[in-house]
Amino acid sequence: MERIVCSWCQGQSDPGRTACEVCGAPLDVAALVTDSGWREAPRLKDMAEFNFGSSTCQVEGEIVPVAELSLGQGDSIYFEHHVLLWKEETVPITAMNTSSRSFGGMPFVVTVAQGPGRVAVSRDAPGEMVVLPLHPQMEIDVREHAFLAASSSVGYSFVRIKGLANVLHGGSGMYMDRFITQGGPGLLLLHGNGNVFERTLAAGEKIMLEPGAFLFKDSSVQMNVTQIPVKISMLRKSMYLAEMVGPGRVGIQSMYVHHGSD
Amino acid sequence: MSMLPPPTLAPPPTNSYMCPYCRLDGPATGTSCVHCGAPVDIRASVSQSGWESQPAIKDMARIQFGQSTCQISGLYVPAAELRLAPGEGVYFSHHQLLWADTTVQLGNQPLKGAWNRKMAGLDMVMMEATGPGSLALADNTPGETIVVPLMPGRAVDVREHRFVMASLNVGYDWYQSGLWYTTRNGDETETHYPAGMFLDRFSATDRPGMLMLHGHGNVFTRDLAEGQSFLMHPGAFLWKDWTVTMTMHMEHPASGGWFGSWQPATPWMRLTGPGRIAVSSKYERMEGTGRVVNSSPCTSVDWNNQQRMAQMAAVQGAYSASKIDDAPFEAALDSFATAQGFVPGKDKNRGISVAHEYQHPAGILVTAGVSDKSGITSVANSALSGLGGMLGGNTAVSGRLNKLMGSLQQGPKADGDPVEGFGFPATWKQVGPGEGTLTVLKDNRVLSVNVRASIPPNDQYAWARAFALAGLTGI
Repeated sequence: MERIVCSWCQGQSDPGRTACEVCGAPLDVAALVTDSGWREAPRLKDMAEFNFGSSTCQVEGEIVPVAELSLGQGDSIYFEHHVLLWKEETVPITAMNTSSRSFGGMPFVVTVAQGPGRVAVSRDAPGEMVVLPLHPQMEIDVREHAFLAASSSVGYSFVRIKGLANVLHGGSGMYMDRFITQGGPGLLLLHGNGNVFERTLAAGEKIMLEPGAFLFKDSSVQMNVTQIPVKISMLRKSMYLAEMVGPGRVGIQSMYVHHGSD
Repeated sequence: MSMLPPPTLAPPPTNSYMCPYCRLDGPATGTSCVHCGAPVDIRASVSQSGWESQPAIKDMARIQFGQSTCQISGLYVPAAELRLAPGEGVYFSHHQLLWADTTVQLGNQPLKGAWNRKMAGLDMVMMEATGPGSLALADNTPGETIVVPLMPGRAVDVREHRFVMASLNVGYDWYQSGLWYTTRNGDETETHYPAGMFLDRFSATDRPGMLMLHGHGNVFTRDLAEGQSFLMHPGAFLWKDWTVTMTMHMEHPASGGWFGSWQPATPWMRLTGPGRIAVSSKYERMEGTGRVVNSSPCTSVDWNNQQRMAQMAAVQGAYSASKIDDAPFEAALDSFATAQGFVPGKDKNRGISVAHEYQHPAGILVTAGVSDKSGITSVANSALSGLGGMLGGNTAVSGRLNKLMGSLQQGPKADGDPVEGFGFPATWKQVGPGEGTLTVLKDNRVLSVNVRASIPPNDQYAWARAFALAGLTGI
């Protein structure tokens, strides 16, 4: 029996399904791609449902969407502690050790919720939920404080952005979250402010981004800071943009805080 | 052979479509207006008060300007993706840039008076992008991106920081909005600019141009006729035709009491046509204003005054409703008096009471008056309630007023000796030597006849009685 392939996550679903079983993207809507090749993240329908491991995730709401996760026995997810919207009383939670990052000045507590049971997570800004099912051996870098939740099969680390210029002018903060899968697949949920667009860069292809708009990228994509001769204030005679160099995917969000307009 | 009627020709296909939002003609193909991107396959959505909802540009809709195109993507915070033809360009505020191809030339655009604007606390850096290549711009607030195509000769004024971009052939200038008010709180004085300190003006001179704005929340437009004015929350103002003028308007809410005018005023923006105006539905809440001590040219309404005016109008209404139709009364008196050798003197008409004087060569002065007791009562009541409302809790003053009104409500005192023979209650009171008053109460009207003369009291009474009888027929 021929199965339907999702154009967003490449996951396969049974015929007759209107939403992808793996990422919840609508299967009955054509992908929206701009003339220059930016693809809109799939607009998840209210109450869209998809599976990961022995758990399910249902997306509720469209303006500030909520991910309601029904965790199977033995499954667990992790998230930043303040995105927890509600939980069932029986779901145990523990804290992941990220002490070295707290020294960076950011209060950063990653919380783990263990199945069975239900929890719900959401960010607090209008935007879109980006569902990124990760195949084995994938590495994705995410803007800090943009990740909503990830299944525990996804390895979590954070990379300090290299180069003082990148930290000072990059506008992406000091760290990037890095999510890695080893032998098995995993699920990563992000929250993009405003609307989210994705584009795949060919090897060596470059695009310049407003650093505040950067949301995620394949770790194969290089992020550099590039200087543009645009005088933006009395003292600053240039403006900085993030230069992304392929190969790989780049995701951006349309609502962001512009850096460096001081 | 019967003649067949000539074939009916269908009207020639119309290949143009006038967009109700940008009001420009465009080809009648596709699902969105080529000039402003507004969808063509929807029905206009107009509120009962006349605000027209500006429809969101459909996801992936394309707009043509010159040889370049603009494509709108996204719903919550839409991004405008521009594909610039070689040599064509746009300018925009630098923090709107989302991404750019490496082939696009980016640079500063000189901005007249930028230093003054920076000194005013607004950092405004205009960037210019020239094709070939693509770039995208986006605002940072959920809302609607709208396009205002500018035909030669048209100019629009835009709230600061709502501008996304404009094509290079659109002229840009800025000026002080001229809307301000100063508040004082203790020793602290603060000047507020409710619609922003500056307004951006965009104009097309010789060629059409494209202007793109971002409204926070939803956007609504309406047309103002010449001289028509509209009060708007200053924070909601988005853009207007340059022909629309604006001034401040202050409203002092009614709060009762003598000190109602000390309530903080609510500032409004008064827009006066002719022209088009647009509001956005998400806006900043205005801070508490304190006491307004100065402002730019401003109209104002004090609802405490309005309340007082309404109360006074009620008093005046009751007063005029209780006027006596005096003509038959006066005719009867005149006729009687003239027949008895009296000469009619001055009339006194006070609305709720009238009086007529008659003099006799024998030294008799008769004043016959009639007053409306029910009229006095209703006027007194409405005045009392109106003044009482204004006095509020000032019990000392309102107590005295109550006493005054109470005495007024009683009307002329009828505390003399009872007099029979009128068919109505009547009294005679000797006021002094040679002077007395006869009072007759008929229905709700009081007829009082004063007689002053150097003749015996019994005669005075006779004259008064005669006048009363003559007057009673007329009232």
